[in-house]
Amino acid sequence: MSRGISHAHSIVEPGPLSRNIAGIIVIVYAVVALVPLAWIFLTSIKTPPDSISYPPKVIFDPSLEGYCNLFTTRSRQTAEYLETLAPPSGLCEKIARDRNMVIVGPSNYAPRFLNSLIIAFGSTALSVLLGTAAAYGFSRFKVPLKDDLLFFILSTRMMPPIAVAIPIFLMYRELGLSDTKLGMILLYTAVNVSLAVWLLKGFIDEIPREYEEAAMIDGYTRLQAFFRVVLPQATTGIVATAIFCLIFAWNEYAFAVLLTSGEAQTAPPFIPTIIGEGGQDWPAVAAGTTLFLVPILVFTVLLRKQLLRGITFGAVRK
Amino acid sequence: MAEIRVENLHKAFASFTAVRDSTFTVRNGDFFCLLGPSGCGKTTTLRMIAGLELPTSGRILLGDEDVTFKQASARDIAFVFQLFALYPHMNVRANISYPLRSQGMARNEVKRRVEEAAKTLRITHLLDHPVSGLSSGDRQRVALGRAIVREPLAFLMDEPLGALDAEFRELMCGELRALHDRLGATTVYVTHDQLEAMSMADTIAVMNQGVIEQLGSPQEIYDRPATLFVADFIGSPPMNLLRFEGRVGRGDRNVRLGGADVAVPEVHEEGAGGALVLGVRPEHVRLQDDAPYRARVIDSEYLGTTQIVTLAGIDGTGIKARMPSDIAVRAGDHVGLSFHAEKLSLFDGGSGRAIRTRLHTEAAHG
Ligand SMILES: Nc1ncnc2c1ncn2[C@@H]1O[C@H](COP(=O)(O)OP(=O)(O)O)[C@@H](O)[C@H]1O
Ligand SMILES: [Mg+2]
Repeated sequence: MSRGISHAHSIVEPGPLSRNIAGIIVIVYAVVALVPLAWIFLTSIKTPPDSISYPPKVIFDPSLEGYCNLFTTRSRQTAEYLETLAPPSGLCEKIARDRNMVIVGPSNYAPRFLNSLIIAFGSTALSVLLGTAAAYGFSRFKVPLKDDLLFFILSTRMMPPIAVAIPIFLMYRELGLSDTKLGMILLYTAVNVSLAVWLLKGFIDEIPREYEEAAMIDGYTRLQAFFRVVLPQATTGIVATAIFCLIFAWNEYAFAVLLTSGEAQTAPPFIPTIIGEGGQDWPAVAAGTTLFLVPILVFTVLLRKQLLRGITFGAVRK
Repeated sequence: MAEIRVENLHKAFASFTAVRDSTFTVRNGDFFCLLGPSGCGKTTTLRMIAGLELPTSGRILLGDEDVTFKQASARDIAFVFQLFALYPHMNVRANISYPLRSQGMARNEVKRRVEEAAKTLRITHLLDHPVSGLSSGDRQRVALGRAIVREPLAFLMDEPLGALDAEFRELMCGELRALHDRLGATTVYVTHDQLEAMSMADTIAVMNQGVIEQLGSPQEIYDRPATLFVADFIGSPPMNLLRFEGRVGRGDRNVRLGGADVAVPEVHEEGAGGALVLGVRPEHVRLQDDAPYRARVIDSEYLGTTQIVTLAGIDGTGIKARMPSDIAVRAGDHVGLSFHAEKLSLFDGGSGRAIRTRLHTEAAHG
């Protein structure tokens, strides 16, 4: 369409006014959504006194104290004792000394974070694996009671999962799954797999059967055809599903509080328990939260391309 | 290359029968068309031959081997899908070579075969392109390339030209037939387009509601339709079917229709009575002022050298006639019609079966 000649309205392209309005809405929304994140990040680089000063400080000297406190445990010492020590070796040690403290060891944040990684990625992998297999089966084969089964799978999501928290708590205790990574992986998988089946079935339904059939005619078994022809076509769906599952498992709080306390505790229940002297250590909490956002961000950004790529690249005419 | 024999093939989906007791043989090197309206079971038949669908009963023989329950991958048959089904994540070369790679063929042999197939189809310049940017004609060629590269026992094609534009379809029709002539490959070709079938096939099987109504050469099917369905399905416009009540018996050369005696080919069977049907191809209708069969001109459609004249008989029966355009007809004219006697078909209106006449006997004697 040539703008110079035609002044007619296009029904698909927005005009300048609606474009501007849309732009403003997006910007306002982005600001509203990003302010808390910015606040958390700024808090994470404040000193504890700055973080609780009122009115809040917008201009302040940034400090890494929050991050140091996040990863360490410290104990207060008398000035006389501190005099006897060798000069501080690292940045965190120095910050601690300034507050009359010494670092006595690492905190639990790193192992909790690792637990989160293992449990979230583990359950995501398992959900997507089971989801893909089930979705392919439902999509391609005559399954007895198919509709009922699909509805049953969906129905597992009709109650908020936390509604069954007590039975699960008791069950896990009996089975010895309380406070284990395996237990958490299974639990998050159970919640996510229904979403995975439904999402992936939609994607796989969209992949024409003819691709597999062509591959089978070309001398491949169904399994080979599945791996070589269907899976590459389903990448977009698998990635989208994985991101959804990961976000749920990564952020889940209620079950994590209920079922984990030590060995298998994830980061979400751990972060609010970070306590400084005389109250919450807000910069450390904010630092823990900031770092906690990173894996999802990285995962999503890395897979952005896959997510946005078309499903069939238009190679089949419909 | 091999012969394909289909014996009493039957396929039911739940309570619905898609293919009913089909029996036919595709001779080695034959270009065999399964022709019929949409939903008549052509694709289902083809998919059973390919092994993508298992028959409810019946047998399928490829060469001398019973393949009825063999996996598709074990049948050595190539299949061209209506929507081409090119692997979208592979380029043209990978698509064409895919069936060869499943056999673990040596790399340079694969390369040689792919390039040979590409040359045959004139797509060598596209080999390293992704399939997504190709025109539908080129996609069709790639799909054919994937089929011919294997040198399979037979080719199965399911409406391979269905997705092409009209002008391209005609071109590909010619190319497909030429390819067949060059390779001499046994081919089963499914289409709902009678022109495609007529122009390409050695043998046509006309299907209707899961049943093969007639098997024969294009000319046989056009000249001597075995059933009312075939008569009505083949030809554009199709055969005029003039219904009348009466009786015919062995040796009859006339039927009484619309108050007129109409000459027909001599009846060569014991005879039939009740509802009968006279089949007249539009090109076998002539205007003849003094003919006893009277009709009125409704309309005429100009087609260049010929025109299609729509008429109504006295009892209101619609009749289409094909005649040279230089014959002047005006809507409303009352005219007499004569029919080319030796070419007419007679049908039993109840069963829809063609009544045997001299038309058949003569053909049988050559
Ligand atoms: N998998 C199936 N399940 C149920 N009915 C089917 C299936 N495949 C085909 N049919 C039915 O069988 C009939 C013949 O189908 P098909 O062989 O595809 O017809 P054609 O190719 O001649 O158009 C159609 O009525 C179709 O609805
Ligand atoms: Mg079909």
